[in-house]
Formats: sequence, C-alpha cells, structure tokens
Amino acid sequence: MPDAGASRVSYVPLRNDAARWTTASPVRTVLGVIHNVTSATRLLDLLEPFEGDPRVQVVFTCTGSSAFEAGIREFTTARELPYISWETALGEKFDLAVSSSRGGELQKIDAPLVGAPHGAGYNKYLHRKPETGNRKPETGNRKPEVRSLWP
Amino acid sequence: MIPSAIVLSHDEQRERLRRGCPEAVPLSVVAGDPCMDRLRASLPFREEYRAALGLRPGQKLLVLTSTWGPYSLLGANMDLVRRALAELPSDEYRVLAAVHPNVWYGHGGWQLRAWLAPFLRSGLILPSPETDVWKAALVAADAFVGDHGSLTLYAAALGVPGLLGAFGEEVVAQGSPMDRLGAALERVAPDVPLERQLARAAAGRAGDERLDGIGALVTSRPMRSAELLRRLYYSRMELSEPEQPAVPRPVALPLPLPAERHEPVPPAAYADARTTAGGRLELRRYPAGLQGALTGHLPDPHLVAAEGEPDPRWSRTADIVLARPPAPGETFREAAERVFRGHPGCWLAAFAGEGADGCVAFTRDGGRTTARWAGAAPPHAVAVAASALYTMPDGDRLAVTVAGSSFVLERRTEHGAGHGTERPAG
Repeated sequence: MPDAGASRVSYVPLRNDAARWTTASPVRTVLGVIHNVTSATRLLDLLEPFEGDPRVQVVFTCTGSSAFEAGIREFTTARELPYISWETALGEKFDLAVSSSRGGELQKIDAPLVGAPHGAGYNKYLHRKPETGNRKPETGNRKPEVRSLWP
Repeated sequence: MIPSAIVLSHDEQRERLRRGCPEAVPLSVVAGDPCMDRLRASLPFREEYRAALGLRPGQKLLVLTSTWGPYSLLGANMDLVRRALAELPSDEYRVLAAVHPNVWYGHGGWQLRAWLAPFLRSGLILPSPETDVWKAALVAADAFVGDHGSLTLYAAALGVPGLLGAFGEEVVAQGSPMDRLGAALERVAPDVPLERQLARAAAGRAGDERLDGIGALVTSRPMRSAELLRRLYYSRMELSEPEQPAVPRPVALPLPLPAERHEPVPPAAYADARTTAGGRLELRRYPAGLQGALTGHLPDPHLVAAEGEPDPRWSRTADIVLARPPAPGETFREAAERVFRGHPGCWLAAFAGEGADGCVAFTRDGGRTTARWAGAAPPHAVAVAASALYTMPDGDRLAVTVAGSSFVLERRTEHGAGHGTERPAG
C-alpha cells in the first residue's frame, strides 16, 4: 500500500521533459518519506523550512512498512500531497530525502537521507517484548538504546 | 542503514547515541524540535486558541493525551475519560481527548467513536487525528492527564500542570526525558476527586524546577529549529538558503470543530448546589449516567432529568423534571400534574417560560413560581433556574454562580387558586 492513485510519475518535475510542463522551475527535488499518519503529520512539521521557496519541489511516498497504514490515502488526499508510489520513488534520484520514522527499506532511496524523530525526541523502545516487564535486568545492555535512536 | 544526517532535538541525545552507537555520532545534527518551537510561538495567543476550541469565558480545558498500545491512557485506563467527565463540573470544564493516530487507524475511527460514545454524548471533544488541533489544545489547556506519549511531554514542557493516568514504563527508554517525566508526575489516585488532584497539580506546577528541567530536555535549541533544519537541508542539497529568516510560526487556529450529532434529550445531571456565607448559590452539575464509584465530588446532589428521558433510573427518581411545553389546550398546571404522575420522585417540574430565558416551575404541593434572569442568563438557563428554585425556596432575588460567572434570578411565587386556568401564550 498505499498507492494513492499514482503508479506512474504524475508530477511533472519528475518527468524527463519536465521543462515543457512545469510552471515553477524547481532546481531541487526533495522526497518526504511517510510511514503512517503519525509520521506524516510530523514530517509536515519538518518540511516547513521549504515554505516560500519555489526552487524546491517536495514529493511524498510511503514505505508500506508500517502496521498502521490505514488513513494514509485519506491524509495524502486531504492535504493534497504530491504523492508517488514507493516503487516509483526507488527508481528516482532525489536531492534530499527526509524521514520522520525508521521503518522500511530507507537505504534503497537514492538521496542524502535526513532522519528525524517522530515524537518529542527519542523516548521509546520499539521492539521491547512486553513480558520483559521489569527493565532493570537490561541495564547495561546497549541494544535497546541503539534501536531507540536509529535502527 | 547509513543516513546522511540524524537529527537530534537535544544535546543530551547525542550522549545517549555515543553510548549506544558511537559510529553514528558524526552524522548527528542537533536541530531542536520544530513542534515545540511552534507551540511556544503560539503561547501569546492562548485566548484565541481557547475561543477557537469553543471555550466560554471562565471555562477550563482538560486535555487527555493518549499515545497508543496497551500501556497508553486509552489502552490501560479508558475509564479515566469517564472519570474526567463524571467528576469535573460540566458547565465549568471541557474535556478534550488527543488520541494517537495509531489508535484511530489501528482500530478504526468508527470503533473509537463507538467506544467513546457515552463520553461524546457528555461533551467530550475528540479532534480528528490527522489535524493539528492537539497543538492548539495544548496551548489552550488548563491541565492535562497523560501517559508516556510525546504530547504529555510537550504539555509538561509548556508548563501545563498535569497528572499521569497511565505510564508504559515497559516501553520507555531508561534515562530518557520521558522516563524522568514518569518519575516526576503524580499518578491519578482512584479514590480522590479528580478536580482536587488537578488543583493540587496546578498549585505545585509554578516554580517546579524538576518539571521545568524535564521540559528543557525537549529541545536544546529553543526557537531555532526552523533555522537549523533549513541550514541542514540546504547544505545537503547544495543550494543557497532563502534570504528571509526561518522563524517558527504560531500554530494555525483550529477551524470550528464539527458539532457532534446529539439526541434531543439532554443528559440527566446531578446538581450540587451549595449556599455560600454571603447567601450566594454555587451550582455544579455532573452527568448522571457517567457516575461510578463516588470519590466525594457529589456530597448532596439533586437529580435533574428531562421529560422523555428513556432511562428509568433517572426518570423515576429525578427531583427536578425539565418538562416539555404544555400540549395545545393544556395549561402549565395540567402539564405539571401529568409530569408528577409520570415521575414518582419529582418535586419540581420546570418549563421554559414565556421570556427567552424565563422559567415556570411547579412543586408537587401545588406551588407555582415564575422566574426570569435579570441581565444575562447562564447557558442551560432553564435547568440552572430550576436547580436554583429547588435549592432556595425563599427569596426574590437569587444570586447564582455557575462556572465562575455570576447571575441573578428574579422570582415571583404564587400560591393557591387563580392561576390554574392560565394557558401558555402562543
């Protein structure tokens, strides 16, 4: 999922003959990477620095890696996000990619990748087993902390 | 995975990264937190956010923040939503639940609304998860009850007093700001009135250096995130930055929230009326249907239900019945007698009066009272007037306080015959 209706490149800045079709003339293309609605709302915060700069076109894709994919199509539609499929995104080269979550095969994206937290900093373990219960025995184990920052 | 840059919001995270994954430290960039910056930039406009959320002057806003999962507020303690609406006087408090999108999309919005339906009927505000109404709510809030989710941390960092209704120690990274917040905030006690607990949290919040210190862990580059992120992006893209400064903007004001559809019958309410030393009546009303184990917030209430209330628990025992207008050809007194026959517990039947906010009331012993608000009327004018008349059988001018605002009710009592044939105008 969720291919929000665009299996082919439908945004003109990505076309080979872009100069013929574009209105503004962006010189850089940024890929915003969505995992679910949570990370998408956060991603829009992170992309605010591009407001007001017609030299930059942002397009969005979704990794299809989250357990919470419902609602992404509605979100991208409601916010009118220029959306391309994950397959399309992997076939393109971008000047920058920004991701507010760590799931999915981000390493396949052809772009300098900026990763950011999708909440207030880094506070949660993602993979801790519930039955671990008491966390004291894990003191000194470095693994969970690595995961909490970046996979 | 080898990202080009790992954005951190605080220098403290770099130390944790150094311990956990030292090879990633050279990639880390401390760029603050754009969300926190925008929340802070919104604070001067708190009154505007409160008005946009529909708060009346004098009303308070409690924000319930829930992340997702079994340890979250909704996962571990959904009953707290009930308690908030049951124990906080409904004229004085609005309760808003800011729920993590993963709850919404994991179970389905319909299902979440269905689970919360009794609370939505009692006025719970439940903003749609893809909006940023939660940001406006945190800026507008008087108090929060939260869990280990980011919104709780943002609320605490903004200086809002609050409590924990749940906390997932199991999933919180040891030594993280959230971990410290879990240790610093009081848990909601099951047997103490919630309003009292919130008041205690509010009294202790100003000057709480421990909470201020935790709030400071949200960003070590306050108000500079837009600037630092832009610098990072443009350097990675090898493009010159725009000339204008990158400044955090206040959060957009929420559009008017879509009204919840509601039934024509107002919820039955317990009214707690207390007379102050100066003879003023302080009235607090609570939804009857949400009461559970009493924690002491309802010492001596009377019960108010509308005629037509389908739940016999309320219709049979209500002290006050808010009556339907008389049928065509029926007098007020005839209608009141019909109400008394159908509601065995009822002492006072109240009708909307002929003025916009007036009230015509009958007591079971035949007394008839008309009353009208001198000057402004409170919201739910007839129900408030009925409770005032019920509680204060004497006096021509009743001073009534609801949700911190004062109102004056003028009364004219008539006994005996002479009015029994009067028919309502129109």
